[in-house]
Amino acid sequence: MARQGLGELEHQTMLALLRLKDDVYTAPIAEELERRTGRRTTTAAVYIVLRRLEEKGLVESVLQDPGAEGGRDRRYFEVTDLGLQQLRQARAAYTSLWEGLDTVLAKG
Amino acid sequence: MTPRHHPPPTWRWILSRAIPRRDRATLLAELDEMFARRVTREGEPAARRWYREEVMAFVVHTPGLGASGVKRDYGGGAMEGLRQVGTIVKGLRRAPGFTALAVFTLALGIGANALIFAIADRAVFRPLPFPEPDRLVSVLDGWTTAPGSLEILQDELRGVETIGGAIDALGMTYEPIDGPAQRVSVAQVTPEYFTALGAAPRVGRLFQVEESEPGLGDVVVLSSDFFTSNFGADPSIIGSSLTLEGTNRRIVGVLPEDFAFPSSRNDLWIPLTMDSSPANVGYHWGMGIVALVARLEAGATPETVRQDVLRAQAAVRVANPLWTPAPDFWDEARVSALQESRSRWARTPVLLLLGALAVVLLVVCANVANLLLSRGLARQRDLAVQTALGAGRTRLAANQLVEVVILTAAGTAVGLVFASFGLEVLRPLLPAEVPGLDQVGLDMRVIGSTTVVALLVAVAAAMVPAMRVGRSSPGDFLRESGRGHSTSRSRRRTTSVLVAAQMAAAVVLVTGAGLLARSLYELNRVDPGFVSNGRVTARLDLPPGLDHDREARARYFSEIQEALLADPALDGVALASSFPFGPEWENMAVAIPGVTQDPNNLPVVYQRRVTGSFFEVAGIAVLAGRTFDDSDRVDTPPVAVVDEAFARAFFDGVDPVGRTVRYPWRGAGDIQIVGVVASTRDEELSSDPSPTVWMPLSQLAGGMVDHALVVASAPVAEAGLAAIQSRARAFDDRMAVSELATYPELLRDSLALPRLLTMLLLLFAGSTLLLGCVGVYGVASFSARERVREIGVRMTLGAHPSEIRGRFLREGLWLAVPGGVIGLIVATLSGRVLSGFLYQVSPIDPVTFVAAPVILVAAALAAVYVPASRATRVDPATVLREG
Repeated sequence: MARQGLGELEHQTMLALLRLKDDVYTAPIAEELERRTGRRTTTAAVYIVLRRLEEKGLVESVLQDPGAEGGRDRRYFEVTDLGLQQLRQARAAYTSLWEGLDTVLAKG
Repeated sequence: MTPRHHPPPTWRWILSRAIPRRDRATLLAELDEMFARRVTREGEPAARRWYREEVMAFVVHTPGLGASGVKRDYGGGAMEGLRQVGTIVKGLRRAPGFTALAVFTLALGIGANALIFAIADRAVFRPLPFPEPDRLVSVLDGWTTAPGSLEILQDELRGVETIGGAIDALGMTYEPIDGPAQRVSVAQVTPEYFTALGAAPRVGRLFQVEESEPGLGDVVVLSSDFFTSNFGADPSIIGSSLTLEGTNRRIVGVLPEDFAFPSSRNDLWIPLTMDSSPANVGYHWGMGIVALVARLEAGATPETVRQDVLRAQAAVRVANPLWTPAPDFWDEARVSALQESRSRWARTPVLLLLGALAVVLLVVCANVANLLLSRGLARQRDLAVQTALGAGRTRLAANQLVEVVILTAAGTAVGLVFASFGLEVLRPLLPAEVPGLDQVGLDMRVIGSTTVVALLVAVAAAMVPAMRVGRSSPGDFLRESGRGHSTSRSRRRTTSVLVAAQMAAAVVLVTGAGLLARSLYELNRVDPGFVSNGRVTARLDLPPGLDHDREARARYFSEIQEALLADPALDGVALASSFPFGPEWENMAVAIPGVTQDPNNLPVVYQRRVTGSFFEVAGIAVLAGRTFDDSDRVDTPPVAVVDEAFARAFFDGVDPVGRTVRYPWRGAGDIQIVGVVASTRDEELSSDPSPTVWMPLSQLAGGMVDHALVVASAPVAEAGLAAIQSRARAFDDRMAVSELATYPELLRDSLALPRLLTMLLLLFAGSTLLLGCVGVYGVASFSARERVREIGVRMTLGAHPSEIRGRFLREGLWLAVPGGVIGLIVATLSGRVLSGFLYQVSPIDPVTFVAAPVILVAAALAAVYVPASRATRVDPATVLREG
C-alpha cells in the first residue's frame, strides 16, 4: 500500500488525467491543469509528479508508437485501480471536512 | 507530423540535458509540439518565453527526482555543471558589494578594451575588404603623380597585374533636377583602379576600360549613401543621367556601402580621362595629384615593383613635356602594402593607446585578484570545512575559476555597454583624416576579440587566489581559529604587491596623460598668427557655366564680397582661394630671381589668393610695404605679398619689398613683392609657419579659380553663417554654399588627434588611479578589521586616535611609495614613446613628474583615511570582551 494521502498537485494531476480523454501525456496534462486552476504549471512539475505517482503505483504509463500518423513515440498515462481508490478516499475526506461549512464561507 | 515552428535550439539542447534519459525523446517531442501550438495561438515571442520557463523548470526541478525515489539515470556532466554554476551564482548574489565591485572593475577594463580595439581595428588592423588584400600595394606610397606618369608606368611595371590611379575628393557642383545646387565630393579614378582593388558594384557596373578615353567618359558611379539620399535607392535610375559641373553623366552603377577608396569622403566616382593630346598637356602632365594603387602578380614583391618604378623614371623624364624631372626624382619612391600605407598615420597613436590599454588591463587583473583574495579570506572557514569534508582542491580551484568566469561574463556585458556609450561620445572627436574611422562600431570582430581578452583577464585574475587555495592546508584556518596570523600575513604580502603594482601602473598612466595634457595646453596657447575669434568661414562654389574670362571673374568676386558686406550680421568680409586651416590648400613651386638657380629644384611654398580686405579681417599684421587694393587689377602689373617666413628663408631677413618672384613655367612674368605680412601657422598648430606667397584674387581669378572661401567677422557666429548662406543664394541661386564653420572650429578640428589621445589617456589614468585607490582602501580596511584587538589594547593603554590614524597613514604611504617610485622609473623610460606626441613639453617634464606622484600619494592617503578613522572609533571595552 502506498503512503497515506495525496499531495495537492498529485491530486490535481490525477483528476486532470481522468478529464482528458485523448492526449493523456505530460505536456497536455500540464496545460489542462493550467487552464483549470488558473495557475502556471510547468511540464517539469507535472513530469515529476507523474513519475512519483508511477512509483506509488497510482498511475501507469505505456509507450506507444505513433501509428499511421507518424511522428515520435509518446508515453500515455492512465490512473490505476489503486489510484482511483485513493482519489475516492481523498474525495470522501474532503467532503466530510466540507460538511456544514457552506454557511461559514458564505459570510466571508 | 513535424511542427512548423521550432523552439530555440540552445534552450532545446539545455532541455535535452535536463530530462532523464528514459523520457528524453518523448518529452522533447511533446514540448516541440506544444511550442508550435503556442506560436499559432499566442505568437512567437510568447511561445519562446513559455519554452524558456519550461526548460528552466526542468533544470531546477529534476535534481529533486533522486529524493523521491526515482532512480537517477540522468545527470550528465553538463547538468551537474549547470547546477554548480547555479550555486556559485547564488553565492555571488549573497555578496552584492563584492560582486558589484568586481563586475564594475572588469567592465571598466573590458569596456576600455572594446573601445580601443574597435578604433585600432578600423584604423590599422582590419584587412582591406577585397579579395587577396595582401597583393594590393600603394605605388609611390605617400606621393601622387600626374596622369601622364601613370600611363607610362602602366607599360613599364612588370610585376603588376593591374595598376590604377585615383584623385581623391574633388569638389564639384551637382545640380539636382529639383532643388538648389549641391557641393559634392567626387573621386576621379581610372577604370583599372576598381579592377586592381577587386571592387564589385552593389548595383549596375563599374567603369569599362574605354571610359578613360577622351570623349567616352561621361559616366558616373554613385556611393551607396548618395544613391539612397538622392534617389531613394531606386535601382531603375541606372541608365539615367545627372548633371555634374554642367555636364550630363550617365549613371552606370552604385558602389557597396562602406566603400572607402580612395577615401570615404566621396559621393561620386567619375573616370579619370587619359588624354595625352597637346591641348590637354597641362592636365595630363601638370596635375600631379593622382595616387596609384596596384595589384601584384603572384610572386612579385613590393621591392621588385620599386625597382621597376626606378627604371621607369627615364621614360617619364623623356615623356614629360612641361619640365624635366631630375634623374633621381623618384629615388625616394616607396612601394608598400596598401593596408600599411593607409594606416601609417594612425599606427603610432594606436600603438600608444594599445600600450596604455595593456596597463589598464593589468591593473584590472590585479584588482580583481585582490578582490578574490579578500573574498577568499571571508569564506575561509567555508572552504576549510569543504576541504575537510573531502572536496578536492582541484574542485575548489575550479569553482573559483568558474566564479571568475561568471563575473567576467557579467563584466563583459556591462563593459560592452560602456564601450558603446563611449563610442558615441568619442565618435565626433575621431580624426576625420584616418580612413575607416567613420565606420567604427562594436561588430563581431570587436566583440570576439574582447571576449578573448576578457577570458585571459579572467584566468589571470583567478590564478593568484586559485594558487593560494591549492596551497593552504585544510586545517590551517581551523587550527588558527580566527586569530591566525601566518596565512593572513602571507595573504597581506600578496595583496600589498598587487596594490603596489597598481600604483606603479597608475603613475605611468597619470604621467603620460599629464604630459599629453600639458602638450595640448601648449598647443591651445599657440598664436596662429591671425585672429580666429569672432570669424566665420564658408565655401562658395561658382556656377559651372560662369565666364572663364579673368576680368569677368574678378568682377563677380568683388560683387559677391559687396553683397555679403551689405548684411548687418557681417562686419568685415574677405574672399580667398585658400587660407590657413581652411578646407583648401594650394602649393606652388616658385622661382625667385637672384635666389633660386636650379629650375628642377625650386622651393615649394604656400600660395594663397585673397582680396585686399583679407589681412584686416583675419587680423594679420602688415610688417612692411602694403597689401592689395583696388589698384591691383587684371591689367596692372602683378603683385604679391610674402610672409615673414618667406622673407627669412629666401632674403635672409633683408626687406624683400621691390624684389620679384615667378611661376616656374617658361615665359612666366615677374611678380613684384609689394609687402610683408606676419607669418601664420598653416595646417597644424604644432608646425612652424612655412613660407607663403599671398596674391590678389583680382589679378589671378582665371578659369582655375572655381570657388571662393569666405572669411568674415561676425559678432554673432550663427547670424553670420546664416547671412553668408542667404546672401550668397540671393546673389546667385546657382551657387553652392558649403563648409559653413566658425574659424575657432577649424582650429579645434586641427587638434582632433591630440585631444582624442589626451582624453583617452586621462580616462585610462583616472580609472587606474581609482582602481589603485580601491586596492589601497581594501588593504587598509582588512588590516583595520584584522587588528581590531590590537587597536583596542592600544587605546585602552592611552593611545590617542590621531596616533592610530598616523600609523595607518604611514602604512598607506608604504603601499603607495614603492609603487610610485617604480612607476616613475617606468614613466621615465617610456617617455621616449611619447615624445613624438609632445609639443613644447619635455618627455620628462618636471612639473608632470612631480605632480603625478603627489596626486598618487594624496589619493592613496585619502583611501586609507576612511578605514583608519573608522578603526579609531572602536570601543576598546567591546573589542576586548569579544576577543
